[in-house]
Amino acid sequence: MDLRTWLPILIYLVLGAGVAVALFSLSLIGRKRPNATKALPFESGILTTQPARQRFSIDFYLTAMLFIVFDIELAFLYPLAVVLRDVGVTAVIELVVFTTILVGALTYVWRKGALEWR
Amino acid sequence: MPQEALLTMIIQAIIVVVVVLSSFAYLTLLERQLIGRFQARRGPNRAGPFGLMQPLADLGKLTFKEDFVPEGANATIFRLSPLICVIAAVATLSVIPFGGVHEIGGHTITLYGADLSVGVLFVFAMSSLGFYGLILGGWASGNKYSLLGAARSAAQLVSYEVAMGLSIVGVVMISQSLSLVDIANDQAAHIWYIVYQPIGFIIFMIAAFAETNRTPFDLGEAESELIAGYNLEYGSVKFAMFFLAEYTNMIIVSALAATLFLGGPDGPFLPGFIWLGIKIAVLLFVFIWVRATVPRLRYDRLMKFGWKVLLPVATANLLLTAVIVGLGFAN
Repeated sequence: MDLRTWLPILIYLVLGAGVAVALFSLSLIGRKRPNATKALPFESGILTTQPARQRFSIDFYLTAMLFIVFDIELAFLYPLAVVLRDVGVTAVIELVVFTTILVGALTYVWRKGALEWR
Repeated sequence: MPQEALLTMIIQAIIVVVVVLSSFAYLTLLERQLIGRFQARRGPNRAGPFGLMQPLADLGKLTFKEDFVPEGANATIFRLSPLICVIAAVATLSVIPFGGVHEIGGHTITLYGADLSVGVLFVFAMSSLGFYGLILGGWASGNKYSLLGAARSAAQLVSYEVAMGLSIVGVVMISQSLSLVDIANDQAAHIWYIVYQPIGFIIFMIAAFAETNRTPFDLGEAESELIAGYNLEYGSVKFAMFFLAEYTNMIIVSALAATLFLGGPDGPFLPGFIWLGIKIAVLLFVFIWVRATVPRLRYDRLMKFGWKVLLPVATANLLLTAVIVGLGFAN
């Protein structure tokens, strides 16, 4: 593995950091005149009654779980896709079996109602 | 490693970053002009001829605005998250093939930054890093709207990322490589992949709209209910940094669509990077056109569409491609 191919990425990361820091320092130019009202969370002029970080819908958590499952399956599909033409029929059968399990899982969560947004 | 090679790498990187960042500036102007025309009014036209100085005027205005950290915000994360977004967006540019290898005056110039064997996965990894900036920014603001906007964006991004990933698998099967340079070269040698993967292209574009938080999928920043979403508490240049990251991601995703499906820099007569520029410009116009045409979806419908329509269709497309390619019907 030649690390030289990764060198441009380091260059781009440094450039990106440079751009980000330059823009960040621009934000220091503006005049600072803080006051108590200005520092309030913006809620259309209504005074905030409760802290912002509260519990919210369980559906977000469910979506995150589903994403992890399907994204890992996706990560397994990529190497198989690269060698698919070389390996031929065996790879196709493996891929069909694998995808059937994936579709089975999707059908299960679908029937269980995990894809419904309440 | 020879010094000259390193120097050309650095120069290439600087040129790409400067060109893309200035296209970001003029993309905002183009969007405002076009939206104006779509709504039968004129866009910004006061700063310079045709409003061409408008991006500079915007930057000047934002620079001199007050920048403050709201009460209840986590100050460090609040300040850092726009930086994460910008760095991730710029780093993604490194694997986009803007053209091939050229010989200019005895010097070898490569128009792409890095030819990674895992280019496609690198783009995914970097765009996921960009989401961190967005989610942390919304969370650190200490504002209910920001937090809700960030949570919505996160859920939407991960839902559509699966469909987007599946739509690319078909392309990878044909190209037999994850390197974006190989994918572009293979299309130049044979035929553009949109011919083999029309459904994949449509799924990719729909998911791209969701991934870049664009209308009709801009639920994370729905003005009518969340005011502005995750960047609500941001002002001054920090707001502009989120904006820069979002629009740069739009350019990147257009470049990716052009590379994966539309032949990348392939085209007759003109040099490759001009062809890629034309393809990116057309796709960006589609982004703006859709924004001016389609209303925003309801959130539950957005999630339903992602999981119950896009994901099954993408899986079916994947199976079909696997059978056709793997059994040797397409050579």
